[in-house]
Amino acid sequence: MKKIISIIFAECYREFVYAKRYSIERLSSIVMLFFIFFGIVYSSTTSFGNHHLNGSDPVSVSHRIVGFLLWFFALDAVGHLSSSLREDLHIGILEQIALSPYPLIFNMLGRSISRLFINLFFASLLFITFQLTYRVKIDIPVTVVIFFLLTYVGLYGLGLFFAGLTLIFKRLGPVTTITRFLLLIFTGAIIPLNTFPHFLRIFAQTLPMTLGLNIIKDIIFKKTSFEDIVTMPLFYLFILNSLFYLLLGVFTFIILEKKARSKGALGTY
Amino acid sequence: MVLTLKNLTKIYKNKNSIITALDNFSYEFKSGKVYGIVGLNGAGKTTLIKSICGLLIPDRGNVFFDENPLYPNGKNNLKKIGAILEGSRNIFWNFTPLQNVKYFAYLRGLPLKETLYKATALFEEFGLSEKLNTPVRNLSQGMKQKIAITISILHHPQILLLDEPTLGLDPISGNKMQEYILKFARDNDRLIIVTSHQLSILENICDRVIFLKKGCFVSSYDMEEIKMNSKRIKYIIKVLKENTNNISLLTGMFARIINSDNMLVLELLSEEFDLNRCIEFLIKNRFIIKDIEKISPSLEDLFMEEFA
Repeated sequence: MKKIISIIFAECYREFVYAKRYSIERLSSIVMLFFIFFGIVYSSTTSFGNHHLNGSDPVSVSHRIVGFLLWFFALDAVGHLSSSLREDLHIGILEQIALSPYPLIFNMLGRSISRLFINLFFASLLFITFQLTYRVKIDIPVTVVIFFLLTYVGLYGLGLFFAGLTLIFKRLGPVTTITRFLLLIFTGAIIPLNTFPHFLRIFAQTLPMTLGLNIIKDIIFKKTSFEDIVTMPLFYLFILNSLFYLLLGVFTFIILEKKARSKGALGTY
Repeated sequence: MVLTLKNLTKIYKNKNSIITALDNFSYEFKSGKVYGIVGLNGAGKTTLIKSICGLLIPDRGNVFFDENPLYPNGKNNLKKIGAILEGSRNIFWNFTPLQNVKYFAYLRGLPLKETLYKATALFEEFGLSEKLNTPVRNLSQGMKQKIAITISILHHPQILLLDEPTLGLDPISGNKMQEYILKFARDNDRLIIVTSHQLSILENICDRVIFLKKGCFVSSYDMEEIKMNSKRIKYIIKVLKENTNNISLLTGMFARIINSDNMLVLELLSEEFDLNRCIEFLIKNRFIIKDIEKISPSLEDLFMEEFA
């Protein structure tokens, strides 16, 4: 256990060195995300025809802020493991990292945990900026943390799934990008789910972020208590959903790491 | 520590081809010795190295650390291995040497303070003490390789696998690297397996060399055995070119006759003719001998013999 914690610590150290070294790049991407959000909100208040849109009311904006911030975490959770593995393969360091008695999945866990902390910092920056820009105040109860982490587990599972595929198929960038935007559009992060046709709403429920976001919004905006949440069938569906994606990711990654070791694919790009 | 490879077989299958990279390879390696793996490109050297360190799972056969098999459930044995892999970066180029040490110390669960102390001492030995906080990407190839070697031995591995460790190094750095590899093996009673196309380097550092051809074991020799093998010793005899009428007498006796301006350079293979008999013959036929040079066989000669 001590060794596994040490591996997680190594990956955290690596991520923090990178975060420090490439802080300007990271800050630029945060500015870019701010403008994307600004565009989303602004586009919901304008129309090319005569229809009246009212997407900038404080309630809509607050919902979008919460949805967008959760998507911000999803953006990284789904794609970072895959892209960092691709980089390791590309520069040729992966074999040296894999030269260990422990499976690579612990390295992935370390990367994910460290990115969670780094992203918490940047998400806080975005959160404050959004509230100041749109003059809304969103109180986040502590119970949100539990449901946020459970949502993150599902997203991390999906990230692991793509990371496993990267070990064999290498160039998965476009697939993870498509998935990231699916999560932005079809999880209720920026577009209310009730505006979708029935089949799309069903599809949305199967994604790893939708149910978690629903519950988080209920806690923040409807002030639903923790006790009420855990009595809802939605909660159990949410747990099953997160568990499904986590297991999918873990098993896919373990199987494909073994396959990559059989093919000698850890050292090739 | 004895590292035993038993019937290691690795077959790569593509849509269009099947390549047997290792074919029933068996061998026993012992601590305190440096082994060289020699072969042409595609002989299976890297596949062999990667199979030993678990980066490539063989299709058949196993690797034993003393009596403990590596596959399928002996991954703990990998703690005993350090490796420099050919074509890989082995270290992070965007990190400084010290950051690399910290990352790999955490990764291997080593005590940070002690490891940093040891690494700093090694960096000093390699003349890198002023570069400890310089990103590796800004350092020369030789420095990068020295840092990679340092990182690979941080956890005191009992087995060190070096796949082309001197690739891209200038002769001075290459020599220092050789000295260091030898010192590491001798002082710590470690087992070192090296692959290299630079046969002179293997000749300098290896106790034993193993020839590999198309994934199969061909032969193995002690370096001393190669150097002392009297059958492979050759002599270069230089005679003055005065008695030109007798040159025709020499054909058949010497492996090669080079006719230069005022000299004849004769190459005598000891396994074919005795030197004393040859000298008697030259004197009898009034050749004036100017010089006799004894050439011990080199690994390159043996390599050419095996593969040419």
